Amino acid sequence: MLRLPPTRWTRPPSLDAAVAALGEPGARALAGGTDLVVALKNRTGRPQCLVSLADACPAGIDTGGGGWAIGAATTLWDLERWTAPPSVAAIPEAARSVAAPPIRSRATVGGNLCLDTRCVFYNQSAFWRSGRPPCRKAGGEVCHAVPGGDRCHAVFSADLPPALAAVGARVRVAGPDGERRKDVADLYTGQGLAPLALAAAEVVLSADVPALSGRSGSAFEKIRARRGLDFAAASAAVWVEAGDDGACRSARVVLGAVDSGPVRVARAEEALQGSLLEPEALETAADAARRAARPVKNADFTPAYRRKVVGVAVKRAASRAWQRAVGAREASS
Amino acid sequence: MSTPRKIVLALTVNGQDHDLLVEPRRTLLEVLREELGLTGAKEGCGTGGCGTCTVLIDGRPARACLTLAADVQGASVLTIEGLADALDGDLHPIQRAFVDAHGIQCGFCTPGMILTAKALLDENPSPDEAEIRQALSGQVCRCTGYAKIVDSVQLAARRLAGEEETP
Repeated sequence: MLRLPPTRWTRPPSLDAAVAALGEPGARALAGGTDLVVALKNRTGRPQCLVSLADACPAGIDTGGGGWAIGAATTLWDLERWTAPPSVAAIPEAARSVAAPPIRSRATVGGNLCLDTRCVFYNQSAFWRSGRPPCRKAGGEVCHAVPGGDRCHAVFSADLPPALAAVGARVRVAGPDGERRKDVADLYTGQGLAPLALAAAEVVLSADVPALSGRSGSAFEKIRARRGLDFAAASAAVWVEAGDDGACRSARVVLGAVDSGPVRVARAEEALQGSLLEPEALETAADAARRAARPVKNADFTPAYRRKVVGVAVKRAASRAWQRAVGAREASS
Repeated sequence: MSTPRKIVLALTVNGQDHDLLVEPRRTLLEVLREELGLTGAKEGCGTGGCGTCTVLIDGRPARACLTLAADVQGASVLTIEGLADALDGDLHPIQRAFVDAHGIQCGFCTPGMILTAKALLDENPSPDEAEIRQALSGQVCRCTGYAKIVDSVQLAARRLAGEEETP
């Protein structure tokens, strides 16, 4: 039986108590545990105390204030069952793409937003890793994925963040200095070693999704080895809005799993804007995505393959988002 | 930070209430197998990737190997041992369907398959094949190739709906 190392555990009854508990040395936030428990079993994380956020963060989707606040403790199981309007359909689509139903029943929105970056040389058992010197992410000084590389290249593998970033969501975080809001994209450093731009003892409370134009649509596409369980080899989230003339007025394109953070691709957005998302425009957007991607040899597929399929992901997501935008526009007129 | 070394865990397993003294690092799978002697849920990979430890927590399928027992305080857990009729030992219709449609070979994945299928059929009594495959997408079988498992779930759905008699 794979066991966790000895650790203390606490379940603070309130947000304030959780923030205080996370301020203690060696404390680590625990949400659904579906990724953190694996890390503990693999001994890639060795916290002294696990701080369960189950009673500290809100669960469920709050529809107040002209948008939606998705509580950090909402399970992906519940999120995938959200009948979202076309403008934000990428969100339940991304939730549905994570792992498998028995993992989504425990995994949370906050946990997915704070998912650690991954690498085939790091996310392994302690025994497997003992065959090589420790890499940067394991506290060493080498990178096995990019020999001679000067930083950790672990890949950003969460599925919700690209979808949330594409629809312009913000995250509400709380810490010792109170609450603040930031764009989803600003939650990430782009660094494999420490991917989260959170201060000590800060926790994510919710993802706040704005009410968007009724003539817009979004979609999330994930490419991986199997249609269940696997992390993305490459992913893309696209939001597009139809203008009065029937052409695309605005677009947002965000890639996942091809760098150490989510990647927004302005050139892909420019290619879609003003177009009817005809094959040429899609191909130009896909090409821009392929150029923006920085996959390295640290996941299931070769970097060349992941670069190629991130373009496919953009084309599929953009087409589906556009169908939703046009459908919503026709339904409302 | 003062946290007790062990915690008192109140858990309902297969309809029976338990108060257990457990280390907070113990997973639900460890508690089920080692404290309660319920070895129906298996450890395959131990890291969430195979599905053979799947049990139902408050009706939803979950990986017992990734769930800290401390995190399911007060929950109701159903394992494969709790599925058959407790009084006369008759198999649950889903178990019967897996036998009749040959959805079992070595049996290692079977508890997880059947419990995941139960959660699906409880929510959606007449799933199509794609919905069944999606629901079972986290359950790995290395013997059957899945076709007969899907057949078994479809047979169970028909029997539970009264469309087909159980022989």
